[in-house]
Amino acid sequence: MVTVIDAETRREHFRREALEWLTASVPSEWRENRGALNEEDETRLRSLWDRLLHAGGYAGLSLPTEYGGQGLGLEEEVIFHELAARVQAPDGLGRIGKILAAPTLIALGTEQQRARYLPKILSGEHVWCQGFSEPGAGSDLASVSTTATKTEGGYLIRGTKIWTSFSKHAQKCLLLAKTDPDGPRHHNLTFFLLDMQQPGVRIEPIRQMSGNAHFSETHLDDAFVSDDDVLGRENEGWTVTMTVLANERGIVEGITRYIEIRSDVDLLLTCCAVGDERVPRLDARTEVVRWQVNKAVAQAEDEVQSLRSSAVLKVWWSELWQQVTNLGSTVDCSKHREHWRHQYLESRSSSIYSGTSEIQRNIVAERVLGLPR
Amino acid sequence: MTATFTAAVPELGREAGDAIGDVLKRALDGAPVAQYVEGTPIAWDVIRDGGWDMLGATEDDGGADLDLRDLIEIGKVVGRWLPPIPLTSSIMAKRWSVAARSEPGAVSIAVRTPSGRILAPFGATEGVLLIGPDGDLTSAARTPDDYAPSLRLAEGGEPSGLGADAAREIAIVWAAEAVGCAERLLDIGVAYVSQRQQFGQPVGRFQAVKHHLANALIECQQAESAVLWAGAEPDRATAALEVAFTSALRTAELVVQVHGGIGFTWELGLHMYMRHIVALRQLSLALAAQAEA
Repeated sequence: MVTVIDAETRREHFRREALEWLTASVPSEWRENRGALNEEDETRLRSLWDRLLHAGGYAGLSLPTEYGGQGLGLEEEVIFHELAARVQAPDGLGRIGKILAAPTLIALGTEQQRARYLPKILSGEHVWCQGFSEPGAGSDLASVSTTATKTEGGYLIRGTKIWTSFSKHAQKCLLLAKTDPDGPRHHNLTFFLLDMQQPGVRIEPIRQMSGNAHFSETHLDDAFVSDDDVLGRENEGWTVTMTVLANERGIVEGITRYIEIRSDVDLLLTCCAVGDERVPRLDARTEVVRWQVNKAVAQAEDEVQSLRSSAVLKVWWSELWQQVTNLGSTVDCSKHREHWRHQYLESRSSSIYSGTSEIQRNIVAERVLGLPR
Repeated sequence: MTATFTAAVPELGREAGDAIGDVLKRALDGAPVAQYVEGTPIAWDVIRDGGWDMLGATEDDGGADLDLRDLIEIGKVVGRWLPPIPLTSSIMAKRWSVAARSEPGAVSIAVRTPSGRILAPFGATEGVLLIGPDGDLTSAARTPDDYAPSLRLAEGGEPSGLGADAAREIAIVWAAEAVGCAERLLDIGVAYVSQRQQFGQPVGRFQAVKHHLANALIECQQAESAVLWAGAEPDRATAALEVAFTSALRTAELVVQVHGGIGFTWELGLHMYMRHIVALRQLSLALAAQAEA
């Protein structure tokens, strides 16, 4: 008799092995001092984590094996991120490279670009950042004004990018810049793979309301990018950007956020707001986030359904987390006062980044429900 | 059960849902909902002859062997069409009760609400029997409660004797029906604001209106996700179904709002879906709580 191992069993097996690996691999230095590490140690451990993921065979889970990925599906990606969040594994520095750059290179890059960048993304050698937003181009991303002017063998970039995470550590940047100042909207931008380590790039950290400085302003003053580092066609960078933004990052982010909200709600349930009748309702709504993730995974193949489930997921978890931190900040728990004060402020960002709640609602209304523009 | 309960729409449930949707469409499409739910637009014979009331029974019992995940899809379709017959109640009664399976007519379920009322959906169907307290079928005289014409609840008698699994499943499928109501309302809302003109343009072009309907869709999706959660995690069914009904009703409220004055009229019939959700909420949450006790 032939033994048929169905997808369910295979995933269970993956889950068990991944949990075992994670439990054994999270550095004890991280596990024991998390939250009390200085910046240098934190960076070192997050970078180490990228390398450990690679050595353990967990880098690029859903990327094809021919490009060094593990050739698994979105389901495994979600399982792994859920478990990693549960055991409080570090967040590597290579996130943008793996989640945004790699799938885009596979979809639209040249063979040469793939060969040059993919191995280093997966090994953790290269950290990537994202140069889309500008002081004058937030929700209206297509109006970026950073310019790329043709020069011998490439382009010179001038302008300012903002909200650049990982810029301090990055070797490469996914950059959107204007190549045709007179060209029609959506056909005047080009997508570049910019070297961050050059004299024309200057980083200025931005201190956020919570006190953290995860983002920077990135000033580009005649930074050079070679012709080989154009991704897609000249003046068709908007299409590339849409590919980057349409990939399934929202689902992986959704499950990671679910675990974080879960742990905040558990804190309310077990310590800070025991018996408060508002908490069970938040608890229930948190579990619904997990089922929204499951639905998003099931619907990932269909373009409209996937747009719908991702936008719903983003709005739901970001606004739910804010409700949780609002409640936490009112309960005055002597043990966790600082935690809630910090979370309250930190959670303000969640309904703003990766497409504000307002933009998500516009997407739902116009592109999912088909309401008149 | 938890291992096989997934978010993906199952093949069997989708096909059966489409098929029963066609039957309901043939009977109800084109007629205004406010009219047909108060009439007798669909005879029980149509259901019985098609074997639709046996969808949830096993093949050995002459059924179609749908599982709970499939039946959630059926509940959604029924909620979209609002046929004034005890359809989901009969499907679930015949899934769980030997006595109900031996009865060709409609069999419904009587639920004790927290305040002690005993309520059962009868619809416009004649001669509906109920699962009695000891599992036999009964036909006690009842006092009608006209709040939701699509359900035509009646009060009195004894609550149906149901095991915990049966009670929970019925509660879940009724919640799925509420999700179907919400989905249908959302479609109605989108169609309305796309054609209704004010200030020289469709009102659906205004962002304030768009965001109401975006929120309606978000709530609707959450209601569905909550029903799936209830199906997968029996221990949390009550909490999950509370979210489902709250979100389904929020969808309904927003859809009424974007209609303006016409949405508040009896004639347009948006309230029929709302009444259906409100009435089912009482029955479903009472059963879920009973299953958990």
